[in-house]
Amino acid sequence: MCDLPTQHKHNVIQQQTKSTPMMTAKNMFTAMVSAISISISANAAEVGKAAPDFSAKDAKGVDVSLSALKGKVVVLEWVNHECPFVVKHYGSKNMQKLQQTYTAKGVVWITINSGSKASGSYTDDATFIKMSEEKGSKASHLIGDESGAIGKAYDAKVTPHMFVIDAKGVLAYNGAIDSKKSTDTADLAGAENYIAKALDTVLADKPVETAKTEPYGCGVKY
Amino acid sequence: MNSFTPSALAGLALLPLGYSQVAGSPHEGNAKVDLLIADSHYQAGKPIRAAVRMSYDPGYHGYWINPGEGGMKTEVKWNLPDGWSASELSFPAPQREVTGNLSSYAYHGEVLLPFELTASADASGEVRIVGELSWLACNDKGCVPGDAVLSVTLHSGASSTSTQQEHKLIDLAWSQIPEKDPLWEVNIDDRDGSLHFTIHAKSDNATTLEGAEIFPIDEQIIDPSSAVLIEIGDGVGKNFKASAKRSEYAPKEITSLKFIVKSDKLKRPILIEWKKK
Repeated sequence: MCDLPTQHKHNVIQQQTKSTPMMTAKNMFTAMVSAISISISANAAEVGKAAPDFSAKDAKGVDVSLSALKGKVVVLEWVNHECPFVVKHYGSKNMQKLQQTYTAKGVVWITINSGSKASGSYTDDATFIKMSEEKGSKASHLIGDESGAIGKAYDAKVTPHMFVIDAKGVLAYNGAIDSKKSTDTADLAGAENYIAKALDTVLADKPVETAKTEPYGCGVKY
Repeated sequence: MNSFTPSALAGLALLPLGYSQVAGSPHEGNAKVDLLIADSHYQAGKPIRAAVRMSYDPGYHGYWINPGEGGMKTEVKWNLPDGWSASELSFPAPQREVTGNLSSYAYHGEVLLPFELTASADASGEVRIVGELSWLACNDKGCVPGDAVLSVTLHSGASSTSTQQEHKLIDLAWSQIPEKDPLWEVNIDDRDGSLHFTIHAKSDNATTLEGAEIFPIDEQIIDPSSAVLIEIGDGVGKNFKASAKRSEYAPKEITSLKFIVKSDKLKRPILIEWKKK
């Protein structure tokens, strides 16, 4: 159990249970009911400050806790596979290449699906996971955030919205994946690659110059 | 008249008024689009008024030149004959649209984006103008990209009257485009996280700007999450004021701002290009 100094939020998230014929009803229930806990600080998600902590189970049932990842560089990638801006990055394999390149350098890449069922545009976790896998996601973890708790803690506004947290747990980048607000894959080549630049800089233990940009994409529906 | 093959018919998104065609596109974009031309005849070296007409499906909205939060500006890439040119698309005033927790500057229903084509000095014969239009249409559930190929064939010669109806629509569209008006003097004071506008009319007979709304053309200067409404200002004469929250992405020092003032009381929106003295 975690001891958090500030607010707790416990939410049920749906877990995709991989085929495990030996799972009893009780085990399935335990796997299904999980707690997402986050600490909401007054200045959530501010570059230069400690990134809001959270813990959740990923698609494989593995516990992911930001505070436990200290010592690693972490990327948070907000996704919606039906958003044309996300399709630009996944259809072209740009996102998967970034995931592959940086996880190979020891970065922990967390892809998050935030949204509320009530919004009518919600992608349920099973679909989110299936689509991510079909597209060859190379993320370290896929996290379903149906309550939107993690998204709200970071004020994730659109998809894609990218955050980089350095090895000390400080938010080093908050913003767009690149500089060209378009749905056209032809625009990838000429765009300034903010996320790659931020990651290269943080991995080299240097301060990020372009640390905050306006993210583009489809609204996250809380 | 053109003869259409079944596959060409399948590709048409909308039956046009005149000579222009629309080709089916990889992305539907929840809008019907077509290209209007004021004259099917051109004269070498002279401009021709034209417009891209968009009609968004009910429930969907498209975006202004500054889309605000989220969204994407409508753009066109022209494929023109040598020496021909096309001006940028012009945008009439938008409305503020809040979808979920994003505030944008948007259009609903029909909107005309006028522009000008200019024939090359040595233009002759039949010419084909082709453009690839791309846009984004969103509703509260999500966003859909749109692509369409717009084209029109023009002939050299004296003005044709066959496009009279389109001519009128295009002229009306131009009359709605924001225009500079030397009647107005503007100052912007950047303090306490907001931009404070003071607008002074050089004539006491000027139309009131009370209740008018300011829309920034420049992105990332003003936060779109609240409407910027003009109130009566202080001092002698016709003075008005407004304040707008700074965008969190605005630079430390704001030295210029291009914006428009929209009001039902004005014949057309005012275009203002403010520069810090």
